[in-house]
Order: sequence, then structure tokens, then C-alpha cells
Amino acid sequence: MKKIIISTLATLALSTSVYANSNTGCGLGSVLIEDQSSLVMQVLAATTNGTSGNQTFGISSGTLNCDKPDNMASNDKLNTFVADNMDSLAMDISVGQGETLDTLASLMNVKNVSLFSKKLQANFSNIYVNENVTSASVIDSIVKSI
Amino acid sequence: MKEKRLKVLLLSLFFYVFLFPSSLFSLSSVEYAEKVKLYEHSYYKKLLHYKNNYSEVDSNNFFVSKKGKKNIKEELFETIKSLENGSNNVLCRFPLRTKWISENIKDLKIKYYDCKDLNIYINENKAKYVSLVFPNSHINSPASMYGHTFLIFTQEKNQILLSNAVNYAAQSDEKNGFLFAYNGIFGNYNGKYSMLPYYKKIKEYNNLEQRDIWEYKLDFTEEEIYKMVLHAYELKDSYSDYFFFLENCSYNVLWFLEIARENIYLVNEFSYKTIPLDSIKILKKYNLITESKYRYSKMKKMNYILKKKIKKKKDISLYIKEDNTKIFNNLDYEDKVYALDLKIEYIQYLRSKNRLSSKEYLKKYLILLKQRSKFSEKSEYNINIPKNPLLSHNSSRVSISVSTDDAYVLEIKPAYHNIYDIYDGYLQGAYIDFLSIGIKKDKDSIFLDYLNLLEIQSLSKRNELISPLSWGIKLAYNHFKNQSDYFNIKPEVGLTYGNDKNFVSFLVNTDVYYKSSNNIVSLGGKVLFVSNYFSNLKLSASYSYNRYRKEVNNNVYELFITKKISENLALNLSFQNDDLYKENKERMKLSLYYYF
Repeated sequence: MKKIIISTLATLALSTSVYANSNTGCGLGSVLIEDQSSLVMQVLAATTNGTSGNQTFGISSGTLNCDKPDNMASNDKLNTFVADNMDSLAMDISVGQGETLDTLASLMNVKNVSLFSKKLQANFSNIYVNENVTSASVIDSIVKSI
Repeated sequence: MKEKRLKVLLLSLFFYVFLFPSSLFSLSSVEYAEKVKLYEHSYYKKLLHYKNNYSEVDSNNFFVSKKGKKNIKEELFETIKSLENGSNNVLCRFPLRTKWISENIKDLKIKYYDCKDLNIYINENKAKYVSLVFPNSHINSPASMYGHTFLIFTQEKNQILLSNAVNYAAQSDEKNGFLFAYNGIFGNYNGKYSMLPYYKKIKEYNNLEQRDIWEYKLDFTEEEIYKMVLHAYELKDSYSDYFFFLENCSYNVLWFLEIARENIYLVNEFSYKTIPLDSIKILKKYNLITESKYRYSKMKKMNYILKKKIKKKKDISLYIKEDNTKIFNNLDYEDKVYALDLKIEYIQYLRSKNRLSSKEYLKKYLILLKQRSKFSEKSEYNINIPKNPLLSHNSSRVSISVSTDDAYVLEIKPAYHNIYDIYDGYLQGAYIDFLSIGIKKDKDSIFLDYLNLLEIQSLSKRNELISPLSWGIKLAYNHFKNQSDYFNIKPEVGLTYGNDKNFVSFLVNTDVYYKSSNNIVSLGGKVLFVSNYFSNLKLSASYSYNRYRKEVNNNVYELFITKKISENLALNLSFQNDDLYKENKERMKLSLYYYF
């Protein structure tokens, strides 16, 4: 019976997607992009509920390939967080609010988050000068902005 | 001669007592453990994931003894000995076991040494809070239709993004659907634990797969959470055979909660399937959930801005999709802010779908963000929180119905949710049923009415920005209009439009009834309307037309209403008119649904 199910499903050839690949760097542009996989795969996987992928047991421990910011106040946790969340942080700063921005404020021990957000928003163009901006320079610019 | 022998005996006894005083006056740790039968302790069994006299963990590195998977007594003794003589790295590999054993054997003399990696790990995981996270299903991704669960450990309340997520998943790169399903169902994949920052999981679910996330904060003390953290470390390199139905992600999360508190027993509640939703709802029994938090997907946000916020909706998609700046310039101040917010999200969405190259994306993204930063207004988005999945019906259903053709039907469906069920806590338009069976009794006999192997419908709404296809597939052993039994296959595809509560689908299908002697094939279409407008009530109307060979036409009208009585009880009343039935073309049916 299983074979019948499978072969029937195999006749469906629509294409959608399930799985993600991760490509995090030190700069902007690391958006998760979906892999294409056939609907067949998905329908079969529908009888399941696990996700796939080879995730490691890696606890956050420093930004491996990124430059370190000049500012001494920064720490590994902050550097990693900014490097891993460059695009969402940019969005939050530009709209003046958001959880990524709040988390950054908390990591930097900022008391007045609202003022912090306002200042960064006003300085957006100085923080994200161009597409090649790195996490280290973003942190440095943020520290300068406040 | 006798005297001499006695002397030697006394002398050796003296030396023995002198050299090993404890062995005579007190028991060794192993002997003590044997005497009190420590290995039979229920908590020790939990620590080793023992169920029915063997451990569910399959890798040797989870055990100290080579026989550890099946022989818990020997495993304990080996562990004790290793702790005493500093071998097998037990002290650093199994911190929670070490802690528990030393608490239960007072005289245990552990040989201590430095555990560098463990100490770094403990330092990174000083958690105060633990939550169970449930990414709900996503409509056009059947792989996710049952949802998923994992745990997050949080240090600071306002740094939830920085929580560490412990996730259990099957390890596979299999692209072949057949092999994936086969291996998954029969436990041929290794399930492994991983730990990664929660923000990465959020990106995966909220941003990429467009799935809503529910976070359930659990009522555990810091000490109990510490036990879970240590246990995660013990499991980090081990694996268990992954079974899609029972020993899956959600099932393995439950072990952690059992280990956190001695008198919680959860894994035994599940004997043949662990559906993520059920595994969350079971926690209500122990009053473990203290708080529910909803985290909407990016798609929800986009739809919300588009439908609820932008006043001048006309042509807005031309700006969002085609950069028509004239339209943007004609918007008022507020709409400009909303349109920018929407477009920023949309550009990210396109990138995640790989419909924009990295270069194009970056250029557009940065220009938009710069533009948006000139507007100092904060946008208020109060996105409707859907019904909490905690209030949803259980995943298995048994129902009894009586119909106007004097028939009674008993139906059992083990999982999960179909169009007739109240959708509270489920995803509207996402239906999946697996191995449901109907047994019918009419005037003359009792017989098998149908056996549905698999039925999936994914009715995903289209709007100005996204245009998903709706589709469905049904595989069943079924009768044709009460006449003869066939193997039945019915694929369908179409379009769906609607809002939060109502939708209408237009589908085309082919309905194939097959058996060796003959087969019946039709082509047709269906219009389906479903409304969840009233709470606790579901209304639906549909019309379908199918054309068979020899100019046989079939028209079917169906109306139904389902009334929720309580979380796990509902009443369904349906009316059907099918012109191909020989008798009783019109029939009413009243059914009682009970979910368990």
C-alpha cells in the first residue's frame, strides 16, 4: 500500500520548499534562503513533524571571521549578536523600534531605550554607510552615535 | 600446625583491616548502590531515558558501560567506579548523573579533575527561565503541518532573542521523498540534539517559513532548569533512532521536563504517536504553563499592513512590487510610512524566496531603510492574536453519526484536523488527516465505509503580493456512490481568496476510482466556502461538478455547520445532495465528535 501512496504522490510535480540554509557573515545580506524541494518530498514529510538539517551543538562563542570593533566596551556576546542579526538590526534602527534593537540596548546596558532608538534612527545613514558595512563598523558607529 | 595457621590468618586479617578499613566496617559505594537498589530508582531510569527496561538512546557514548543501553545495573556500577577512579571522563561528560549519584551515595569518593568545556558551557547557560516553543504549521508547507517543538533557556527577560534553543531533529539530507518517509517512519535516521541561539530559530520559522511561533513559559525553578541544562550537555553527542510518529522532536523534549522534576511523568502518556500540539496540551495537566506569548510571522505582518493599515489601497501593489514611485509620492504621510514598512518586509521576503540576487536585495533594502529612517514615526501594529493552540481540540477524533438514510457511521481518525473540525488553535485552510476509517451500519449489515490513507488540503489565500496555489490530495479505499469498492485517488489544485475568518476556494480535480476489473475516471471542479466568522461555529457551503465517461454528470451540493461544545466535543450537522446516488439523493447527517 505504501508503494501505491508513494508512486501516486510522485506524479505530483509542483515545487515548493521546506528547508533553510544558513549563510551568516559579518555584513549585511545574510537572509535565510529556502532550498527548493519538490512537493512530493513535502507531502511525504507531512506525515512527520521533525525538521531536518545538520545543526551543531554550538553555543555562541565569538564571531569567528569578523573583525573586532575598536570600541573596548564591546564584548563577544554583543559582537556575535550584531554580526548574526545585521539585517534585522538595520531594519529596527531605520523604523526606530523592534526586538533586535531592544536586545542590543540591553546588551549595551542602555537605560533610555527610546532615546537610544531615536538617536540611532536619526543616524541611520552614518551607521549603514553602504552595502559593504561590517558588524564591527556598525558597532563602532552605534557607540559614536549615542 | 593449627596455631601457626591461626596466626597467619589473624596477621593477614590485621593487615587487611589496616590497609582497607572501609571494606570491613562499611560497604563500598557499589555495594551500597546494590544494597539499596539505586539502579531501580525511577529518577535514575529517567536520566538514562529508560522505558520498558532499555534506554531509548541508541549511541554508545551516552553510556559508561558497553551494556548500558540494556543493563542499567551494570551502567550504574560502571559509572560509580569510573567516578571513583577518574576514568571514562564521567565527571565531565555526565554532570547531572554525577550530581544525582553523589547526592544519593553519601560516601562516594569522587576523583575530581578540571572540566574546562563543561564549565564554559555552564557559564554560557545560566538560565533563569525555560519556555517550550511551538512553531505552528505553515499552510503551504505540508512538512510543517503538525508543527514542531523545542526548548529555550533564557537568562534575561529582555533578552529572549539570546536564549539558547535546544532542538531535537532527524539528521538527514535526503532529497528523495520516498526514502525520507520510509526511513523516517521506520527509525532509520538518527535524531540528534542541537543547541543554537533562539534568534536563528526565529529567522527560520518567522522569516523564512512564515510560521507563527508560540512561546510557553514553563513553571520551573532555577535549580530545575539547571538540571535540564546539564542534561542537554549529557545528550549533546548522542543520538536516538528518530521515529516520525512517536520518538520525534516533541517526544524527546518531554524527557527534559521529566528530568527537571522527579514527579513529572510525560513520555509514558504517548504510546504510538506524539503530535506536537498534544505534547503541549499535556502540560496543562501539571499546571506547567505560566505564560503564552505569540510571535507572528513576517507574512502576518505584511498582510496586516496591507489589509488593515494602508488607507489608499488602490495600486499600492504597483509600488510594492514594481517600484512605482509616483504612487508612493501620492500617498499621505501615514500611508507612506506603512508602505515603506511593507516594502521593506517584502524585499526581505523576495530575497528569502531567492527571487532577488544578493546584490539587488542589498541595494534595494538599504535605499528603503534610509528612506524609512527619515520618518521618525513609530508604527503601531496590533496584529490580532489567533486562538491559543492550548485551546485547540486534541489530535485524534472518534465520531458517531446518524443520517436520514437510516445509517449509522462510526469514524476514527488518529490525526489531525480536517475541514469539518473547529479551527481554534489550528491553521485555517490547512487540513491533514491520516489513516481515518469509517464503519457503517445500515438496515441490513455492518461494513467498511471507507479507509482514508491520507488526505491533505492546503488552501492558502492569495492577495496582491503573494499568489500561492491551493492543492489537495486524497488517497483512500472507498466505495463509489454506495455501489462498489475501489481504490480512490483524488488530486486537486486551485486558488483561494479570503480574509482572517472566511475564504472561498476554486478547485479543479480529477477523481479516480480504480480496481483490477474496471475503473472510473472523472474531471471536475469545486467551489468551496468556509466561514469561521462566528466563534465556536464553523459554516461551509460547497458545490462540485464532475463529468464521467458516457456523458454521466455528477452534481454535489453540501452544507454543514459544526458547533463547538467544549474543547474536545463538537456537533456537526450536514446536508448533502448528490444526484448520482441511486436512492437517498438528499441526506442529512448529525454527528458527534469527540477528540482525544
